[in-house]
Amino acid sequence: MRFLLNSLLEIQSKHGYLPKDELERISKEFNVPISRVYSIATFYNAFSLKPVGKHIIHICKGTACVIKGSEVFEDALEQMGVLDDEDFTYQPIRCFGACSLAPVVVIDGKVYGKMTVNRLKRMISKLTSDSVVSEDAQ
Amino acid sequence: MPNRQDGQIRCWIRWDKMVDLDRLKEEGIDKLYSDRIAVGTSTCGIAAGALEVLEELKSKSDANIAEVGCLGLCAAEPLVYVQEDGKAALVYRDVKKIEEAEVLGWFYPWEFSPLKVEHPDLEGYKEYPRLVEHPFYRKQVKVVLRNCGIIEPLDISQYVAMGGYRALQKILEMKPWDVIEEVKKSGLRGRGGAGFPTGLKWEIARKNGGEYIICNADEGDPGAYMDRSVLEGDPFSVIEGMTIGAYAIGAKLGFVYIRNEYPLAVKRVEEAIEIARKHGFLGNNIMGTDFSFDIHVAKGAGAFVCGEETALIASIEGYIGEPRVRPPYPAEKGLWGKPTVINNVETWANISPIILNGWEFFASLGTEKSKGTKVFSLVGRVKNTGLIEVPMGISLREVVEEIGMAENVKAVQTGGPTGGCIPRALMDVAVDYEKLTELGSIMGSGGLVVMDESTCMVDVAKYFLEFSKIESCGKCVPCRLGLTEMVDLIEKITQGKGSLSDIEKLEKLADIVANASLCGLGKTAPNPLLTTLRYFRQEYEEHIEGRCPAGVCRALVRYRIIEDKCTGCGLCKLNCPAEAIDEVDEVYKIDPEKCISCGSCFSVCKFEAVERW
Repeated sequence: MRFLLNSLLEIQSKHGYLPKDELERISKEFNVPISRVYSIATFYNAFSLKPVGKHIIHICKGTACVIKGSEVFEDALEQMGVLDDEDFTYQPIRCFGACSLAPVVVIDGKVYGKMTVNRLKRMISKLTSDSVVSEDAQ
Repeated sequence: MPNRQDGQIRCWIRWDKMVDLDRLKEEGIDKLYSDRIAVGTSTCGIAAGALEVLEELKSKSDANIAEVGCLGLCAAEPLVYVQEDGKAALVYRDVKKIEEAEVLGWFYPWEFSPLKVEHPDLEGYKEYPRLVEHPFYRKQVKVVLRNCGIIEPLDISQYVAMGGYRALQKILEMKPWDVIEEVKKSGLRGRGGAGFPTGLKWEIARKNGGEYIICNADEGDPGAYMDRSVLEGDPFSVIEGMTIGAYAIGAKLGFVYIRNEYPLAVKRVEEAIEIARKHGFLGNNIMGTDFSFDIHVAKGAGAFVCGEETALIASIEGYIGEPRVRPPYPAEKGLWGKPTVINNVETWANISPIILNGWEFFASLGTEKSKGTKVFSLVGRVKNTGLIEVPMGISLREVVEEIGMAENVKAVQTGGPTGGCIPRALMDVAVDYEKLTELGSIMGSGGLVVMDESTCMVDVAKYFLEFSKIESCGKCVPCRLGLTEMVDLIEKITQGKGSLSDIEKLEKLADIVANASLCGLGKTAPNPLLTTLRYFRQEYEEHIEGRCPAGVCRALVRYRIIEDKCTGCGLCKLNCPAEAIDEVDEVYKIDPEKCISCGSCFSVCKFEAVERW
């Protein structure tokens, strides 16, 4: 059984965004108007219509993380120029469900718990020099 | 064709498809109680470094190594337990290096389960404490989490060894109406938050000619991860519950709607469905009978509102997640217009213990109107963060202070972003659907966020209102515009620019949004504001006077470093997100021009050298 959302999620994870021709293909495949595919692509947070950068950074903005101060990480990213850097895509996320390890930051799909500004800054500067997070700086 | 006539017992027709439960059980017992080392590799375990531990173990030891789900005490992750030489399981906590790990306690693998299961005799440890006596576990009663952290999640034989699929076997010889009656009598209510009686929902669906079963695993509440842990740690318990539900209402097709942010849970459920099919527990002629049922996984795509049942149905159908007007309820007219039973993960996981142990067992737990147990994720300013399951009726104080060992609690937030904040003085309240509602909060799906003096209640209310504003689907006006207006007003207050009339406006708006919104999101979104106003009005007034007592609201606080106390360690500089701190003559100084008043330096300084004013 095929679901429209599942198919769009596959495309999103394959390309990092939803290219226009793929949306048109989905519209034909599921026999739904392109306008509806577009409305879905813009309604759900998981989809992006623009290509994403080399590194994807998520900061958890769930309750437990915010209470433990995750909001300063966004300031740190801003200060480091990450928010304007094309190599990086920053997306805040509403809870990863790893609340016991709050505050949580996810970099390129890997979850890092009990994050501090210091550790985040070191990880980001590593990313700007290398391409992968090699060492988990404590 | 399955037999749809009521009152008739299903016949066992396909001998070739019959399942030898006893053989599976023997196989499971062999695996469960053989010498082995088990590592908890749920999402939280992995984030704490469980995979590295697993690697190290595999390279150093030739022991049988198992990956299990979450044992609950997330604060002590990574958790590893060792079982050898006919002894009970010995749990190690905070395992970074195997040799240096500290013992947390020991347990018998079957002792958390309410089901009577066959097991060999294992010897306990005298020199170590027993896990059930640990403050974190002492008051817990596990029904839903019975297998989590004990069995290998995708090994169906271990699930069967812990009493799995006995309930399905039992109901296949019962009449569907009797199954519904059993669930009705148990008093089980929906664990997704609203608390609608499960048996009644099934009855309505069956009367309407039940077509579909849905498991709502779109656990969007920030601060909650109960469903994730169950799906990752014991997916078969949910699948078996759904299969029993399908038999009871006469459905042939089921769906698990899981949020995309839980990739591991999605993977585990997909694999578990495949395994269940292979063993004849799903698909055509389940366990050799004429009953057929299958399950598919539909993924969410990051929309909180899809946790609302009609929005979730719209999402599976391939529309944007906008709620629909109820009635008709899904049990009458649901997925693709057909009668659908939709229950959440925890509700489904409760079904097989109810069937196996009888409704009396379940009804004996809890309070008059709220039966059974409830799973909570205990997070925030609390020592023992983790996943707990307690009988309904336990007081919030016991949960937070005894199980969680929290100190200086200011408030506890229940019910997720649209729940309420209950102050310390009222923490003796019993955990019960009605009691929590009386206090202006809700049971919700089970997130418990503990707050202490460092939490500003106005800021918390702002956070939740912003959350609801962003997650509002935009379909109805009160929710869309009302919440936007409320966020603007509360923002003004946190900046010290508010007035007392703003509070009045907020209260009025809250009333309109709560009463005029279409779905549960809008109806409950004002709860955090209303409860904080009810219990912490003082804090609002102080903000209006230009003070934030907790020192959280950035517009109202400043920081400086006291030279005499500064040791020059530089930790503040390292943790400053704004690069506002520099060394001047061996001590550090904050540049007020650059400082964003985030308080990062204040919380990291070990010498109390940073002053807030």
